[in-house]
Amino acid sequence: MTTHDRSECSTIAPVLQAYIDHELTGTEQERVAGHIDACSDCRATTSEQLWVRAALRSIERDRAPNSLRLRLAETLDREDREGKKDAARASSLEQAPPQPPWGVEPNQPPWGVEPNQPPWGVEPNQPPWGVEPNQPPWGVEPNQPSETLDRKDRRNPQPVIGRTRPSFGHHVWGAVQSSLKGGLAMIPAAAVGLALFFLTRSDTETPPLVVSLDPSSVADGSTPNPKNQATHLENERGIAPRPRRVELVDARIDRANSAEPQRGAQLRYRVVDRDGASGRHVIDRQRPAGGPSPLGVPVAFGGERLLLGHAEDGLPFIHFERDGVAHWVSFEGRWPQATPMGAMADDESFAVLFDVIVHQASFDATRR
Amino acid sequence: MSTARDTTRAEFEQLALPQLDAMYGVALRLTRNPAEAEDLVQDAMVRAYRFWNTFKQGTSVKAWLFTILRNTFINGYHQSNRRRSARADLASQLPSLGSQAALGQASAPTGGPDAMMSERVTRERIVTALEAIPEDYRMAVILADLEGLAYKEIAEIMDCPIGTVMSRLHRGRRLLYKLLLDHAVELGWIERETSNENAKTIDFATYRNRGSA
Repeated sequence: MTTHDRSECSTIAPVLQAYIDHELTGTEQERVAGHIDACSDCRATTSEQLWVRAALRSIERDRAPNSLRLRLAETLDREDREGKKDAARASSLEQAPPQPPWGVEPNQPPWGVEPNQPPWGVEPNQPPWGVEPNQPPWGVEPNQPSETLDRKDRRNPQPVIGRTRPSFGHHVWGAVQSSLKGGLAMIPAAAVGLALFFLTRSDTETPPLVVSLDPSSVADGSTPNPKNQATHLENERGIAPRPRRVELVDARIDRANSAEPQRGAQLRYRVVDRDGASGRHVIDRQRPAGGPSPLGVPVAFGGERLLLGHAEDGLPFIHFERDGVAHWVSFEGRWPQATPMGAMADDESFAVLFDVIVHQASFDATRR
Repeated sequence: MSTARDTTRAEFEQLALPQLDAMYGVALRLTRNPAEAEDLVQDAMVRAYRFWNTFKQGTSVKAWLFTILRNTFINGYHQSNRRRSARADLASQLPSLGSQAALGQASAPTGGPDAMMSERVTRERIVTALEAIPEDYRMAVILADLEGLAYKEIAEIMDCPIGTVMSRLHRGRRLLYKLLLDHAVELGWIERETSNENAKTIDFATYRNRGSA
């Protein structure tokens, strides 16, 4: 059947596998090809190997599940923070963190997430609201004492119309830089100030718009539609909450434990930009209402009282209570993520959080 | 201080994270369990992140990551009972896969596997077969055929000579061929005549069934 010299097989055998996988040089490849043409045994071996290879190459690949991506990003964030902490310790510039004067235990987030297991990366040993306590929370520049409000006012802030300045960005940038040198973040106050300005203004100057998704329920006015309010904000102040898509990614129940006596839950949302390109994750941590509130600026929005603030690492958050549940809505993971530092205190980030709240409110409205 | 870390993170996200799917794919075939695969990839990636400074820029990040993946697997996920169960799996696979030949219709060979491979059944069949072969063979075949790596890279990842890579590949594919043969015949990828001899070597039940069919 075969016309070739069988002894040739023994010289071909050592390189046959390399031939199959194209690991030979051109001339060697040709030599083996010539032999295979003539030798049915070697041809059978080759076709068998090639067939399996083709079969394997043709199958669809597994994609890493999103849960893995999220988990990994979270772990890397933690690695980063630990690395930074080590670096800070080494630089021996550490100062004792100032005690927050409002009496929440400083080493615990407001509802005492177990320190060893920060669910979505809340820095375990830092209060997540972390506004520099010596700063009035609406971001008056410290070098202008005439505008500084006393503590009493801080608890019950007045609308601060017209307080923002064109130099806001520079101020924020400076604050970011100084905060990276080891101090507590001071920018949050400024950002909160800005957001407060927008929001209180819309609240005080215009009666809250009460519209529902369902036109039939407009009349009774029982269902607030924050979406309209957001639109109002856009017209009024250029906050521009662009239409984003909010998707619920997953939900999870946190069991009660020694550090967390009450059960809670976390809802994770993905907020997709209009272009669909980026999808940031927003976490809504839920606990029974009535616990300690983080330090934030009270804001009326969609008929609800919200607290806006920034966590220690600069993460903007919105805290509110609804139907007996306290919500702490914030971004997942490290902050800022891919954005330049200068955009850290941008009110745009609050707009994303508002989108989630609006989404929830709309959902609730449709269920009623 | 934070700048160096940020650079590391940026590099890692740019170079290593795009390999996550590939890492998961390999991990899934190694562990044969999605939850374990996730854990394995997570561990390996965190390890890679910690030791990112040991990665030589310009070399294959894929090979580097796979090396870490394999080491992590061997160190943490590789208990002796798993090895035994792999053998048991292989033993149990052979008859069940082989018996499919009883239903095989001899038909004209088509243009090769590509045409049929989109079928999920086929994919599952291949994956099942792949997971049934011994680990060293499996690893070599995965790296070569699923990931398209060269002998040299596979040798580095598996920490063995290139000759060993070749023999593992050869044997691995040969086993897979036997495991998949009947399915291939059934779908008409391979002519029955060429397959008969091989079929006989793997499963006598096939022949008994054929007689009664």
